[in-house]
Amino acid sequence: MIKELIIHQWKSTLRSPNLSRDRRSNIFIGILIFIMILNFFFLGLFMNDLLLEFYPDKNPVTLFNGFVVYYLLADLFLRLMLQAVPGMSIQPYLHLNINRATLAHYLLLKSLGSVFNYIPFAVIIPFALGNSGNQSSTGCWTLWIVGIYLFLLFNAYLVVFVKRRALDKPILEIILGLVILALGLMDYYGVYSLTDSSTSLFTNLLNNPLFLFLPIIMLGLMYGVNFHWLRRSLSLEQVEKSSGRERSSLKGFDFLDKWGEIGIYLQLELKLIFRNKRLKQAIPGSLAMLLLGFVIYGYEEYQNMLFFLIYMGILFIGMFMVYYGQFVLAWESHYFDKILTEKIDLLLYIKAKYRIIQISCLVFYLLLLPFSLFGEIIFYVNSAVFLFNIGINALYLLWTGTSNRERIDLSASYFTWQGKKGRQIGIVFMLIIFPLLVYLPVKFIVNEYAGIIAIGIAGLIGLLFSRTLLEKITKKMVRYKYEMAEGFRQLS
Amino acid sequence: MIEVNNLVKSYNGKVVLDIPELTIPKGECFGLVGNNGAGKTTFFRLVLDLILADQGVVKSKGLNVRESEEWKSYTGSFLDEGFLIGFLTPAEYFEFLGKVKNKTKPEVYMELEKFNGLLNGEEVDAKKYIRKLSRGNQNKVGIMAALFTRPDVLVLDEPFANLDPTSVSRLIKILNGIKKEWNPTMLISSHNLNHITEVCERIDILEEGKIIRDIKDNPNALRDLEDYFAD
Repeated sequence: MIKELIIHQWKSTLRSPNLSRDRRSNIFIGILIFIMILNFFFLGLFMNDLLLEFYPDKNPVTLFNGFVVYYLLADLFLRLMLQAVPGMSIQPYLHLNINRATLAHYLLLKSLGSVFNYIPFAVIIPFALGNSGNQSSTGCWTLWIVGIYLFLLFNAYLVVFVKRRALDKPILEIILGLVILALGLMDYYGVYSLTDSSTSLFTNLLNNPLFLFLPIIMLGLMYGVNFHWLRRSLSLEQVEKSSGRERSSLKGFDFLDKWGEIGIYLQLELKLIFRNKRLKQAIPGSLAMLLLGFVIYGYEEYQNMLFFLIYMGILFIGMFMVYYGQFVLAWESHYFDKILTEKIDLLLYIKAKYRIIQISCLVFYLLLLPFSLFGEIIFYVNSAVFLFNIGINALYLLWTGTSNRERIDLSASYFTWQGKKGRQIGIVFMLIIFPLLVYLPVKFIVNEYAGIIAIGIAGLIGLLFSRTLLEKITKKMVRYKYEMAEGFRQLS
Repeated sequence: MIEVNNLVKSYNGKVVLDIPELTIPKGECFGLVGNNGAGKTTFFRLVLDLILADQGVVKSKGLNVRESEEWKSYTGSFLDEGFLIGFLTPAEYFEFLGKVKNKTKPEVYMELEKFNGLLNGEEVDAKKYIRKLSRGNQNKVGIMAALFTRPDVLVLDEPFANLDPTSVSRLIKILNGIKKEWNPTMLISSHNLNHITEVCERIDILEEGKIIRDIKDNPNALRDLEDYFAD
């Protein structure tokens, strides 16, 4: 029976409209993913050399082992934010003559498919390949990889369990989050060294196959706990709950009423963002990316590469802007007809979106400020880039938004490919190209620092003309509204 | 109130709507019947300027709906779920529409009271998003949203579909009631011949994009229609 269910799962994936609709963009996205994997692969392969360069007197394998627990904790945290709890898909089977235990096993097996379980392979397999034979045999390295995989699966089941239970007891999610935070803080203040335990655990795992029993037992217990609870409480009600806890929130934004008509649209936009999974998850998703700042700003080498700092600044400050902006005006594809038939001032309607983007950029700019401690230059670059994002890139995104023609599925998850096409990737690419177009000529004529200032000034000029540009965007939207509405009505 | 002139719409070379002339006077209840694909929704979308006609114009109060946006201030409409904002609660949805039409919250709720028969105050206030409501209740929300601003022009596409029998009879009562109250011009389509004849004094039959019958103030309208659709 379980085989049958898995076949259904396959069919639903293969026949999902996102996969079958647009072959060309699928190939394009496939190539991009392949390039990313290739990047990780070489990172893993040359990890030894990289580590030796920074810590010439230490053993790279030991260093790497010391890092694994941090990854596992970060993984746990990200899963807590983003991993989906499989639920809805069993609804059509609940009334059939299928054993509850089978359904419970099936639901649990589905978690094996989560992409989180496989990302690390891109690094650890080449790392193991590069090191096998050095100190430990290929067999030992294989067990090491299996061990890490089992820990990842443990994470998967822990998060799924907590998330399922959290439907009734939301406090559980917070507790798990706090435990992770506490571990991190204890490590930071030297109360307890995660590095040491990570080193000893994974070095032992590498040298002594018996240590594999630790993750096996942990995983087994976690699976058992999940299974018992699921078998007992599997019901339609539970399924419906997992498809969305829905409370109306955001009463706190009522003060926007006082802002007049634009306040009405801002409220609607905020509700759109905070009440739809896809956009809501983009907030923790974007924030998590900021952690990359420690990696990027932490190395002094990068601080001399202004070119690279600009590129990262645009993406960091615009992390939410890019996600939201690429489908701006298509997010409301479900109710676009209503927007068109109501007496809505479209200029203000678009301006509200512009404000949302500006505010998100400001928040991310402020969050990035502490990184200035790594070097003053980071502050200057980010300030210039912030102005550029709100003055030019934001308006560019709104302009391209009027060319969106595809219905956006708001219930999809943050990581979905739904609606993504080569076009979107091109748009994001342009966001990085624009500031470089300003920076490079000035850099060659005057110097690098003048280039940075030029980026800031370009942003200010954009802000100065924002009203005119918003009017142009509104005109374009009015001109193309029929095409947009037509596209948004097409169910995929 | 609504004037249609030489209106043609085609998709991929196939004409789906062709109305040389049609006038719906102020205060008339205009019913539109026809089988699936006859062009009812296409016609309503053209009236609401949601799609572009190949040729011809729709005028509302003498102004072309394509050129003037004036009609938006006095037109209430509900065609399909594309008119609902799924992530709002019904109350928030009505309040939003009220604000857009410059109505205060108390005004909104006072007007909504009149349509208690569809959704009562408790259901409006329930903290449940529209996307989580049943199909029938979603329809009721959409219909109430079209009605509560007292529009001069009301456009409803199959308002009786998905409603339970009690709600259907209440809706018929409400629609007949507002005729007396502020007498809006109504454009209503339906698959149910009984319901439409109870509300509308004029009923047109649409077939393959053409109006082939115009039945006005005829006590035998229902019989005529039944004969026509009886195959």
